[in-house]
Amino acid sequence: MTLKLALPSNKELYGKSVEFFGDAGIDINAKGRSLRASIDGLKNATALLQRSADIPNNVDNGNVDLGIVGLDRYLESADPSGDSVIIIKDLGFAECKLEIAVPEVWIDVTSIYDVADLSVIFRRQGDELRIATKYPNLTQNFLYEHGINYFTLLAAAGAMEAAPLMGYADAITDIVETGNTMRENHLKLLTDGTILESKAVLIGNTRSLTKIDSEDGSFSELLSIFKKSSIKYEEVLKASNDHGNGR
Amino acid sequence: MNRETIKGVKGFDEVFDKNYSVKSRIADMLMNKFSNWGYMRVEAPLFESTELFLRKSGGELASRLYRLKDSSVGDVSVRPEFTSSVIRSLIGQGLDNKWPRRVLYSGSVYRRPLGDAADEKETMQVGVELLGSEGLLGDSEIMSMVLAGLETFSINKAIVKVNNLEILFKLLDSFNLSDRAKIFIMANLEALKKDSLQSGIDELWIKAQKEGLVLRDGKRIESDEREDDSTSSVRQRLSEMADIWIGRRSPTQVEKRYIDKFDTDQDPTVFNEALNFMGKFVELRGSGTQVIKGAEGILDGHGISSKLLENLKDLVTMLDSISLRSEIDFEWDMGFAPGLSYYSGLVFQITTDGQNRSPICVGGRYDGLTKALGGVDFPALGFAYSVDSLLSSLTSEQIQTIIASDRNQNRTVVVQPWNDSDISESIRWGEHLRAEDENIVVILGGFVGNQKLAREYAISVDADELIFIDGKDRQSALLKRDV
Repeated sequence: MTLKLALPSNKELYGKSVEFFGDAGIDINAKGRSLRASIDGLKNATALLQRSADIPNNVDNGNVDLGIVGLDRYLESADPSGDSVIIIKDLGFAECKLEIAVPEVWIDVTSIYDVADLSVIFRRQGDELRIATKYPNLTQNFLYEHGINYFTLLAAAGAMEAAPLMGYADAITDIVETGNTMRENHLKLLTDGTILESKAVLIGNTRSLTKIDSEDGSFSELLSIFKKSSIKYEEVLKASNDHGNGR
Repeated sequence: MNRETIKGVKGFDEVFDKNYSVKSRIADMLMNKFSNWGYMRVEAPLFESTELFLRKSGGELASRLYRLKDSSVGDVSVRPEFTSSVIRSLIGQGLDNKWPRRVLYSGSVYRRPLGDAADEKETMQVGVELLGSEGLLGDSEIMSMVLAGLETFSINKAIVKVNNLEILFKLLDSFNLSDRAKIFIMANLEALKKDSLQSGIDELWIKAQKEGLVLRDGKRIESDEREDDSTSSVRQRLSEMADIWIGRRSPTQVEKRYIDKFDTDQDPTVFNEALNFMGKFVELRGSGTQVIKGAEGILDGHGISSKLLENLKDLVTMLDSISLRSEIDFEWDMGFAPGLSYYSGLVFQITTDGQNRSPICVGGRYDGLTKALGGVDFPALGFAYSVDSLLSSLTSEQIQTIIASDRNQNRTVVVQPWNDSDISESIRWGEHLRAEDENIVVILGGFVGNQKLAREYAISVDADELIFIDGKDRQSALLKRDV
């Protein structure tokens, strides 16, 4: 069996991923526009370039054994009862935050507790606070944790910042790196509205990795390479008689 | 080539569930019972828009939904309950408040287990919704039906826990609390039911500060935010922002809340008093009379008029009169507050005193839900029996009675051809028996020339009778004494 590693096809993230493995002595090379890349320095392994959004599910399903993905994407879309787990918690790149932003003109709103208050006001008026997001699961959990029960999440793709401008949503949650795009669109961040501090992580399917490792030890070999390079990782191999779900 | 056997998904019903026939019979019995009250049978879709369930139950159900996104149907979830679908559908039909609507349903619901992965993920429910019946009238009908459900299975040792959430909200209105503070207290009643009232209050006090409900260190809002919060100054600031105004809130709404935010911080003394009051109130439990007596004492101690208890007294009287007609007593528990995001008045749940503690029936009044789901404001209430919980709470004698009642309707006969040449005569006999008795079940036996296997098979399908067809001769073997 071949150990399959999914890498983000996005040019910048792909470059950083290659750099990460390169620092550990594993060379990854994709030729031209090929979505397959060769791996030198690790036996029986191949790399596949995939859309970041697809990687968590592909690892969950066992279509690939390992994947590099943003923590935000992983926590948002991985199946909670699936077989995927995080192996390396911080690869040192793709740092960003998932934040709640509200119209700058809402001078009465500075914290998540103001948003909680607003949700009650909307509800009392027979309406619901509308929040546009590409991250419904993470957003929903964050709101519930802060005692906000009355809201409607609107699935949105693309330019999220335009949603309040169009009157489509009251607030948004989105990935923020510098905050410039938010400011340019007259949105402001809350003082305590960080939903998640994200970075690139290495994830793996415990079931398929256990199977592969029992056949040729290629995953253990990868872990020993990480160890030599002082890269911290989580122990994820299952005991041979453990057939339950991961996580 | 060896291939792994594919197993059924744990927690979901198996195709050959040994309990299926009993569960199905229980569901039929409940459906028949409730149809006698004029309830119309409906079928709900398996999938609904996820937003529908979230709007109904908010955070309570979100983590329990089996949710999927598909390009053809969008963000949908497998039904975790029926009420939302019923209400949505009625709203779609143009729900008006001219006549009450009575709806009856049964089927499986699907929820992710809470914590313990061994929990069932699929359970069978039978439930009713009564829309358009206000106050005591609707409450009486629903509670009578709930008890009728218990009587169907001769259950007389159930605990029917009841409360009225409306009274809790009304009592909180006696304190000068913000809406958020009221919702916070209602959502945290469990914390107040600790061994020591003070430890519950302390816990909630810290939580309230963390959530920005009450002042922390004497301040809620940073001082630099409130440099100039006079109305004229706020208006000036907002008018300067007119060019960049976005969102659905108007400048007036923002201005009002901005001023309110600084002027009406929750008074910690009032908040503390409300916590103290509710801490004592939610400890009240027992018979209706006991609860009323205790409530009057607590209200008196806090200087609150006992007139607020009038509706509660009416409900107690009504439930007492219903309970007189059955062997079941109602147990009032003023701290029992399930489904706060949609229940608005009477709430109840039934458990039995056996080993199984999960409720066999839950329900209540949800007057605001039709509006929250996009319809007109409409009084509504309902309940759902969990067939699985009901089955596990029944004694073996009660289960045998249910099976026997089913058998009365379906006598099972196996018709076994003696030789191959007897097959067509056997089929003809089966048709004859079915024509004579529409409730009979006739199975064609498959063991030509083997009496022993034919008999064993007939017993395995719980047949009442085995008939051998040999030419024109028939030999009948009664397998059960009561045939």
